[in-house]
Amino acid sequence: MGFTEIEHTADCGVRVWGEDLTSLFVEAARGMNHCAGAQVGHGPRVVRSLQIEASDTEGLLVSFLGELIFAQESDNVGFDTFDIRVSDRRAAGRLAGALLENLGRPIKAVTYHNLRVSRSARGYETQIIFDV
Amino acid sequence: MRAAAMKLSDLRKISEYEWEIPRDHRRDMRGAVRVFATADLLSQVMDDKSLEQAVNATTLPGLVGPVIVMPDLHQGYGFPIGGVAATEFPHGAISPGAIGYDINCGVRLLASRLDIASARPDMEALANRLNAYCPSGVGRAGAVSLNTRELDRLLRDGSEWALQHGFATKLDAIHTEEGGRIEGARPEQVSERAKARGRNQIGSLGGGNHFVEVDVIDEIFDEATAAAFGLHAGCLALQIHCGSRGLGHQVCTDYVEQFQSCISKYGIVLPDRELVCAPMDTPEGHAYLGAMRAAANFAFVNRQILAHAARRAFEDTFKSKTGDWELTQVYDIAHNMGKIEVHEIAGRETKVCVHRKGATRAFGPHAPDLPPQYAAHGQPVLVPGSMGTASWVLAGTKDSMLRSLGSSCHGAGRVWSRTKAKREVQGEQLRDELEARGIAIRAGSLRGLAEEAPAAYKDVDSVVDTVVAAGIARKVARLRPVAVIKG
Repeated sequence: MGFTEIEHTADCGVRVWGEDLTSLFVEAARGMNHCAGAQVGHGPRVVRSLQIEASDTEGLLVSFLGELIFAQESDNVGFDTFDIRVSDRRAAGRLAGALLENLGRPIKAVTYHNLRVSRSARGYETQIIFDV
Repeated sequence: MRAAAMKLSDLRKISEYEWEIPRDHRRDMRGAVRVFATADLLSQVMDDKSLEQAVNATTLPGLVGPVIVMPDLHQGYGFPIGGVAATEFPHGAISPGAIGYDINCGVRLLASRLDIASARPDMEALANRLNAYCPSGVGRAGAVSLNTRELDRLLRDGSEWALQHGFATKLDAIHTEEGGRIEGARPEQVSERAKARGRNQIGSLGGGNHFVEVDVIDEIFDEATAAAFGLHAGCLALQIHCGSRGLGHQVCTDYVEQFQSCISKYGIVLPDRELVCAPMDTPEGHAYLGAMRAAANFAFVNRQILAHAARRAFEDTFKSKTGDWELTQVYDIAHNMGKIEVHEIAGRETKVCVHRKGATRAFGPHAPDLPPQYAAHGQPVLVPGSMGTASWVLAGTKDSMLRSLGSSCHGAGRVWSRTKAKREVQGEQLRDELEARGIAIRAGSLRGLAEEAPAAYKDVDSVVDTVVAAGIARKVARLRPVAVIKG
């Protein structure tokens, strides 16, 4: 599992892969943190429960990453630990993190542009473009 | 439907400055694509997906006329940056992705009678105050924090709210697109999450390519129009570039998600999910229009409060030393917006929703909504260059109304990815180079500075020369930066 940054003219993107949907989502979160230059601090840990549903896996991924963006922007909290279970249309579990030490490049939104979660030799793969 | 990479031979050359991708280029196109660009500017985008995205934009239901693309075009995500598309009101589609996440990202220009020679000794002090008084970058709250009821009033009333609360003058509102208050804003259609994101950001710049910039009015091309706009050669001006912050970003996010179900509900076929849309005369379309207008009003107030802070910085720096330090508003325009307008298209007056993403309104003389003082001259068109380069004040023309849906370019347009910019440019070195040229720099992040390096953008002079040569705008004044504040 892993991610790699992809070039985009004005925004930021990642190609992500994981052996199953859960690891794909976790790597997507790590990839987004990388794009955002999010440095989670070493202060008291913040734990939030997660329970989301969507009409398809792509929508679920957008919704999941949207939770992270909301926490970054409204509470200055970054999540770096993901104890979650993801199925096609549902994700649940716990997110853990802390107050951000730094956020180099805030992400405005996760786009649906060319977003398609597909099966591959590495399990599941997708490409995500973020508006920065 | 994915097309093969575009080639220059796919475009029909109309003139040195105008090209067309004909409607029969792809089977699902509802109209052609018109590109205002030179061959050189086009060559800079042949390797990105901007033209393919323009072709995709022609599939919007209810499209009237061609999709128009400006010379500062580059790829976006779904709709190209620099793109303009009109859909027929009320049955045509409205697409949040064709307006953008940063609803009403735009530019405000203020001008003074303070000459650069008098101001130069205090430029560093001014830059320090602007940096302190105008929150930018990350993790800094805005100047104002509101409860829900007051925030709803702001969303509904825009610049009128700012006027009532002492942040604006009457002239500020008059010299703002739509008077700084878009009618039909519906705060109840803005989610609680959007309000939570934006509540504490009112009066803040944000990061990325947003900035406050002090300029000198370097050259005037039309004395009469410059005088009407309040531009004086050799004197200071101030630009503010920012948008609707987290509130607008969340509004777009919410409706891009909600509109996913509209595809099957209304039988819409699109090549990119980011172009999702709904007919304007549906509950979904009404809801987004109301929320988008509310977010637009938020952005007008955001720029107004930053202008108020900038005025304080000028006052604190110059009032005791010199006269004529006051900043008067020239204009405030949006470059991510959906507006209901009437245009002549294929010989017929048609009411449409004009989607502009990375493109500005550029109404010609005596067009609707122009301040009385500007009516004979056309609407000011504000074109900020990349950091450290020139910016331009143009005026809209009669031709723009006929040929570009009353629209023009919005900036220089990126050519490098942010990754490439960070590879090629050292932020510290860039800062030193700009300061050696007499430009005071205040940047929250050297990495962010590198990403905004001038080399990452097209040549703004070429972009402006193109729209002028094409007849859709005319030159009024050229500005030169002397201080830049960015997150």
